[in-house]
Amino acid sequence: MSDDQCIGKVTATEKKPTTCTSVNFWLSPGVIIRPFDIVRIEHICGNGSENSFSYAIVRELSYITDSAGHLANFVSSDFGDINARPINKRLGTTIAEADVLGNSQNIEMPIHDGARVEWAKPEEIRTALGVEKLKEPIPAGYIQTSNNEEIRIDFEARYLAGPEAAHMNISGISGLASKTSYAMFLLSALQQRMKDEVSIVLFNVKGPDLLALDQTNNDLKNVQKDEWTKCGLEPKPLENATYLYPYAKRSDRYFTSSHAPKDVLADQIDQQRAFNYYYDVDTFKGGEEGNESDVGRDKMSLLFSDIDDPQSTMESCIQELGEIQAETWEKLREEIQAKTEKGQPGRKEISVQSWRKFSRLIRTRTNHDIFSSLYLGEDRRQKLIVDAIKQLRPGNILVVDIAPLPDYLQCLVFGDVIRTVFDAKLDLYEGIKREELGRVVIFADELNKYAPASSGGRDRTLTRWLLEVTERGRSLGVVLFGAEQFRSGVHARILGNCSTDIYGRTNPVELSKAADYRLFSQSNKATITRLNQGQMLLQHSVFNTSLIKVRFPFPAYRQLQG
Amino acid sequence: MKRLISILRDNNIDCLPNERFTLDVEMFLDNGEEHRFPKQVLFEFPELKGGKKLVPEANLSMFRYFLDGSQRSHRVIDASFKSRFLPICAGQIGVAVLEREYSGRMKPRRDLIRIENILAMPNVVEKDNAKDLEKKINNEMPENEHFRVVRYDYQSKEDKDPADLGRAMIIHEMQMLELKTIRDMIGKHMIQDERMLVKDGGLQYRDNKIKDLNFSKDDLVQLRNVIGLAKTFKPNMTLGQGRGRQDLGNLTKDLDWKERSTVIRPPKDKATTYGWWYLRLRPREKVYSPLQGIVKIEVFAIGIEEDDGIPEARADTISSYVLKERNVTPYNADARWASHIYPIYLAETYLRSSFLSHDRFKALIF
Repeated sequence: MSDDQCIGKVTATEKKPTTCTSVNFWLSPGVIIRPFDIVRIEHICGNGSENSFSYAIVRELSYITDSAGHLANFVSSDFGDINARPINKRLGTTIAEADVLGNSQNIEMPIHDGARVEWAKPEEIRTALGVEKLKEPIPAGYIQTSNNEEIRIDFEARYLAGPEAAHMNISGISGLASKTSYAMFLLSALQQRMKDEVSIVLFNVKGPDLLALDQTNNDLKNVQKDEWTKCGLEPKPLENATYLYPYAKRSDRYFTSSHAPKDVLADQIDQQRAFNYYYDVDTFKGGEEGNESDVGRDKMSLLFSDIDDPQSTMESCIQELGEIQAETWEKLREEIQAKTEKGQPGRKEISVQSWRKFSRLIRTRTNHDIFSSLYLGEDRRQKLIVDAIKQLRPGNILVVDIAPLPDYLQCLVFGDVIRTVFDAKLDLYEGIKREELGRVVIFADELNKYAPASSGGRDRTLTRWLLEVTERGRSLGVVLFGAEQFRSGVHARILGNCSTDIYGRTNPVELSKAADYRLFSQSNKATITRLNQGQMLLQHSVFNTSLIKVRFPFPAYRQLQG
Repeated sequence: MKRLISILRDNNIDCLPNERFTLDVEMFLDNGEEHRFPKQVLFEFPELKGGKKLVPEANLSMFRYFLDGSQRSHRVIDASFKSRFLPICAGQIGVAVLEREYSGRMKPRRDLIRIENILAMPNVVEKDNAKDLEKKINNEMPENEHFRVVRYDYQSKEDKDPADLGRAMIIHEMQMLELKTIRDMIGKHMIQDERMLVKDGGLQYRDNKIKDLNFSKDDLVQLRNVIGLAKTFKPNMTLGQGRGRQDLGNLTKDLDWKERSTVIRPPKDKATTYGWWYLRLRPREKVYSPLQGIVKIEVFAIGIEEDDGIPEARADTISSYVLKERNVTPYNADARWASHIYPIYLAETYLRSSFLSHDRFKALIF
């Protein structure tokens, strides 16, 4: 080892000793280092012949001087003369605190005082982080070290999309955190690496953001393309996308209320990739023929996701409805209206007032174009969500546009998709076998809307379904990729079931509010409040460290402006 | 490893460990001033009217090297030598030199760092015996912990405790080490007009120490670039004669911030002539005593200066360099902060950390 590789030496003192998990080192003057850099440190060896190396990730940096206090510095400036220019520089050095990631010979002894510290080589960094010998690596971004190395970071597919572990969550404030961009990058990585195994369902929740994700981004610069290459991926848009838009009786907008630009819609229609989803009454009647599930009626309760219903009156009304006979929405509304009349036969557990409220809500909430029946002509390209899911195959993407819908209908559609995929994976539908779907990755932004943090009361239907997906989906092959602004707003059990967590930029208020951030070191907390666009902190089951700061490439699909 | 006390016993010296070992430790004795001469005379050319002047501010300092010598000595053993019962003292002496790089960073000159273990035995032990003992001791010690055995004259001052004489011998060895280091630096042409050396403490070496070093004529000239900086002085020392005589404390307390006194000379019977003066480094109103924050600057008088005195310009220039060194300070870290300059403080800290710890040194002996 030559001296020019050495960037500092380990310091172990009585008050701050090195331990199995942490080490401090001083830095040679002129060396520039930052948190998340990885260094290698000379260590003792088991067989006594050669040195082993320990690897450590920098957690915190501090500069210390021999000044006894602030007052000494004040005095050193001629008792507060701001124009004083001391000729002598105070003795000082930068001390780096680092977490030990591992040792080349699995030695867990504390590192000794005076041990040499060097930059770790790229392959050593990958090994130290636990991303070197993965069975099925999925690119997750790349890290930039202070000595200008760029190193790819991978997730292990078995721990990202099952069966060993699954589900991912991304959090971060809007605009700066690039949550959607990261999710799209990861879905692109999954599609490029696991085309034959993974199918994708995603929701477009705002503007036309994700409505051209199979079109090339012509504005992508070479530097941005290089970033894709650094991650071991091709800078190309996602492929094989089918779009489901909310049906509307508007012939001028291709029978949809979507915000997608007309030229985009026209292209997709030409390629027979765009359909308009709608809800007929049968959707709420129950499972398919031969299937005893009440899931159809359960879906009706999704309409009331935003209604505070501590007594579960709405759910009781739905159960009390029994088998729905109506064939049209108008008939259904009448059927429910009839329950509001006095002197109804049967049990009297639900008051007339409750039925009236239920009827009123059903009437107003189904008063939307998506609640329709199948039009006889084909030009309206109507499709039931269940049919679209039945046609989903590995390598394909189903984009469901819910942006134009009000919140309660977004919950309905989202819940419906989740439930249908889950049921399809349980082999509850005819015409589709679970293996045919492959592993289904569902990406949903604004997860806090669908699975809000538990308020101590009973979780609502949609939250329960999401809990089922995150708790049982791993083995079935249903994987949830969720995103939200604030982790504190999402149900704790859903977050707890995620094997991969991605942290984007957030604010100090959220840091103090969300329990998940409490164990972050001060420097990690500081980092997370000033992450730049294109940077994320990753947490993944196979990593040897709690957090890795990565960069990821700019989206390679066409960016539609809302 | 055999302990020193056992080696002495093996050589038929009856030794008793000195129980005061831990109590009698005086860490980093300041060399102090040894003003044996009663009166001084003014030594500046031209004569400085008023006896003091404001030092011009400098933008830079030509001080490049900073030297500090330290010693830690202890009375370690009381031994019986035939009819006498005399103390044996042991100590560590060392010299450290720091160099200020152009960047302002202080860097220790490892080639100039010297640390030695000294064993001072009364001269009741003969020279040959002492040499032989040194050999035997070092045969048993690891190489980096060898002792050098020196002899002190236990009868040189009747009114003094022999242990003090033993320790004075160790201090003498340290001063010699300082001087040898200075000689080596001059020999290597490190010290020049623009690369001056500041030495902690005065330049008033007793006896004929400088003479003993046999400086060449050329090298002797370079001594003008060696400055002694003392943090302490005796305020009750009397300057001048007759009516005009003044105690030093009187003269220095009137110095204002950035003012220096006139240059003062020692008696001419010394081997090398030098002059010194005082400079106030800190504002008077910011320190608790009027004598706090004053440094004593000593320089060698070379050539014509030996007769005429130190030129005013030279005293001004050196004073302005010292003044420039006043910041940063070891305030609160060292009680002598107000008269300390930071590079010397660093050299002292560095040397201190290079010494064996008290316990470790004790373990070499007992």
